[in-house]
Amino acid sequence: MAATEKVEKTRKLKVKPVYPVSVSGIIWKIATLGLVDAVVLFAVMVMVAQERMTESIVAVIVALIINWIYLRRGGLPAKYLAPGVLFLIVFQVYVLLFSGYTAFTNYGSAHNGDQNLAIQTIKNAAYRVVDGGEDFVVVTGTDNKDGKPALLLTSNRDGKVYLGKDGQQKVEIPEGKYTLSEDCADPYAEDPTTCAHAAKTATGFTPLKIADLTPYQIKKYYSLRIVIDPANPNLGIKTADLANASEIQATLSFDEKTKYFTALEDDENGKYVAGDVFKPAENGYYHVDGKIKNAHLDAGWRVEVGLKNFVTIFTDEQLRAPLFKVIIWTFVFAFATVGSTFLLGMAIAFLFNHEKLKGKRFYRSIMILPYAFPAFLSAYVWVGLLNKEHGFVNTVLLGQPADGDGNIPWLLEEGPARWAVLLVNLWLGFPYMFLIVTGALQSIPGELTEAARIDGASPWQSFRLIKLPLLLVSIAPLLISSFAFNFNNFTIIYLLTKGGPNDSGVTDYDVGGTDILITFVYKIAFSGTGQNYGLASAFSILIFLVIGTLSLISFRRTRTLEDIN
Amino acid sequence: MKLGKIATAVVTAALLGSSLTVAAPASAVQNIVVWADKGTIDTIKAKVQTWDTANTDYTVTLVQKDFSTVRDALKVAVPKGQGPDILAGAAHDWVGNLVKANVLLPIDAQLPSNFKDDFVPGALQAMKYNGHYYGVPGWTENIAFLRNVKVAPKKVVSINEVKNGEIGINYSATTSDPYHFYPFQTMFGAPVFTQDSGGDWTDTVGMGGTNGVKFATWLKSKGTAFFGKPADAKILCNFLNGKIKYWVTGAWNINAIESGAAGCKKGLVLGSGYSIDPFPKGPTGITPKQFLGIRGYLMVASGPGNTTNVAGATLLMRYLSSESVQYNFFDNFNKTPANAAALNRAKSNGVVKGFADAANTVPMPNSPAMDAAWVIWGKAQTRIIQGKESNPGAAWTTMTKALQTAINKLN
Repeated sequence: MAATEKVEKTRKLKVKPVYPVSVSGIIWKIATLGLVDAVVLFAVMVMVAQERMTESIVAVIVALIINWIYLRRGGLPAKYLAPGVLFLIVFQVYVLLFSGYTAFTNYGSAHNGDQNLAIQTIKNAAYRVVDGGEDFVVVTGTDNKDGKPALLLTSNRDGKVYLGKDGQQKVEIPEGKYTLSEDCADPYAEDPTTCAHAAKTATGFTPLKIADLTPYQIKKYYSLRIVIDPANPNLGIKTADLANASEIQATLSFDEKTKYFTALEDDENGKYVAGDVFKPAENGYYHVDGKIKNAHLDAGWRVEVGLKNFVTIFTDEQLRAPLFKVIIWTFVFAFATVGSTFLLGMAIAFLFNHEKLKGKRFYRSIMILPYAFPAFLSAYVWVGLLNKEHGFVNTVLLGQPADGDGNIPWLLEEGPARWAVLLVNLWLGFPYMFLIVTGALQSIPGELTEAARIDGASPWQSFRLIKLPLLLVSIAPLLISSFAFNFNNFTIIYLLTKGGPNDSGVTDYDVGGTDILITFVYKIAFSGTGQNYGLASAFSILIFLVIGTLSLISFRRTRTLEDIN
Repeated sequence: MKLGKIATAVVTAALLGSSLTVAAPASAVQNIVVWADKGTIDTIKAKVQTWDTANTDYTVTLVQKDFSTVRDALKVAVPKGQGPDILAGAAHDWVGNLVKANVLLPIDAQLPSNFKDDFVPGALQAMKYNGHYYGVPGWTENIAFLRNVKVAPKKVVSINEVKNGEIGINYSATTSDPYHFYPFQTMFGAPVFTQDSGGDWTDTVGMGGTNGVKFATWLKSKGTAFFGKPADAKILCNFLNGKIKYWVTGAWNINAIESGAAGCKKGLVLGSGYSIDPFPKGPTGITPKQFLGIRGYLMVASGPGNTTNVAGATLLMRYLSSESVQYNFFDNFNKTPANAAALNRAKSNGVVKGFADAANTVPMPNSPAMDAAWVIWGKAQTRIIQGKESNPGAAWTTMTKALQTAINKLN
């Protein structure tokens, strides 16, 4: 009592709280804040260099807020909460918002990056090397007459030497006016005595080493086009690496203003003809006239597609059958796992709770072992135990010969694989249930069961009417969370079967016999045929809704249990 | 208190100032960034260093990446402008998928017109997608028909000579292995996709129709009695002991064959013990084809602004594809050269010569359609072999149709 009085007194005396200021505290504060600021400043410098303005502004604002929080006097709660909130935003809120957003886009391997990246990809490939065209070894330099960038070309065909300038036809340099290099034209020729040599310099031409060129000059050389036929402006000699040049025919032209592509030639597969205009369509591809039914160019970008991914989930016929199967199995898997682990765990808990049993501690420790081993390890051990030919389960427990034809194909056929997954999950999961039931049992007052016994209740009645309801009050939320966990129990499925065996008839979705929703989503997002992050995100939102709804309903129901108390 | 605050501000400012000096001085030497898996890095490291030293204008940075995830890493990095200049050790069947994801740069403009002739047939073609070359070949892989000479002294000319229980072939119970079965399939003239006049693969499924049905029917009639059980771990031992006469496999099993395995006979010697043969002809005399797998060097589009160091990367890539370098990779790391001249020199090695001479290959398709095919194709195949389909022809036709639907959806 005296202590409380004292506290009361000091509280009254103080007008303002005074925080103790220690030297080491200040040094710590300076060092930590300085470090944070230094990191942020460095990051901002890097981001500004990469022209990522939004990110750098956000970083500066966040850094300012952090400084303000820790430099100002008072505001103690903020000082405690700031790091947590920051990490919450970065690792939870941002991730949630991002995957939520992704569900409404077509983000995936065929729609990777933004429209500018797609335009660049199309431009990069908007040419073809002329069949049977001449190609040259190139030296970069300038024309002495006007100082303009020029290329010294040595033909690989006949060794003739030319000077080439942008927008002009190449001019042959007569023999004697150029000097051949001592090095081979092919830098990696095997036999230096017989190899061809290219011109390294010529009169009226000043060679420039690539290493001495500025990025601006390099760009000039890349865009330099030597005319071959004045009547065909799309044909030219170009260099792509400043060391070689070929006769190049442009196949598409790009209008910087409208951002449209125009075909300059007929497509060799007859998909489009010269003059067709490609416009961005709402599906993230360039289509002729922007209409999706027309031909498109093969570089896509990420666009928002509204509810299309959700529509696909519900209407795609190829998806329907496997999806239905996966959903059913997911529920079966989650319910069966929770049910079986709970029943076994509870049974053992009751058994080991018996007063007369000796060595309880020892048994209990043994029972917890499966839970104590890392699940990853156990899963891999089980994969070995369940091997069809040589596994322990088949050869020892079931007494089959190795290689026997009657061996159960655990993990190899759908039926046995499902049983195997459930059994392994039971093995991994029951100790947890055993632990919590044991704990809950010990908190049920002995008087209750005693009273029941005196009233003449049989052991079964006392279990069913007294212990179980009381148990469920404290354990029901854990069962719900266990259900939610197993509904998304990616680890066990992936480690045991990878969702396989994949023997379910023909479908273009990679779906196996033990795939639950989350492993199915993983396959859509990350494996095999072109990733589809958009569709996968839409799926995860649906999974979230399912689990959220189920949990909500269950928690509502457990309230009625609480009334027993 | 005020003093404390001022001190805080001063020291903070000092710390801020010190971070400014972190930025490195600009350098005239241009950097070429190469991503590669560990095996590839082990192979190319020494030669890349030699090149780096000889070319003072460039420095090369080798970055180790995980082989199975490097494609995904690339797709994430390139749109952010953080991609490398070269992806080394890439499997050629990645090309289509990566082109579609906007991460590769065509290189045909800088290749000499006769460059194709430097390589074994099909090797450079394998780096081509949608009319453009995206890389240069490094080393190759193909399967052959291995024979235990002690129990089968004579070369097999026709598949009809092979009896039940004589062949070993690795395949899975659920997804088969269409790669290993491809020679048998082409014995019936059923290529996975059709090819255009230039020899490029199309996206049209070519294994349907009567030839495909013939193959499916044959596959069922032979079944596991002929090809053995799926996922048989004992093939190596059986081959060494002569329990099976032939083994459909590639150079990756040669070490095991020559050194033997625990619990069975000692290893075999090339020539007197085992022989590397071409595949026998089909029941109607058609010469089968194997898939050629190529690992090579791809030019990466370094994202926004096209910052790829094209000049340097081209030089380095051509160096890595040159004769002496590829011969060196064979000599030190047993990589079968894709460079034709290097391969000729490497043929002094019996194993390389065996696989090269046995090769009647076609590059494995490199389109995203191929990615889509493996599972669907393999599932049908393995079900037929294991007798799970009562009407193999119908099952095969259903499979080819489903595959075509899946491929059309990609485009």
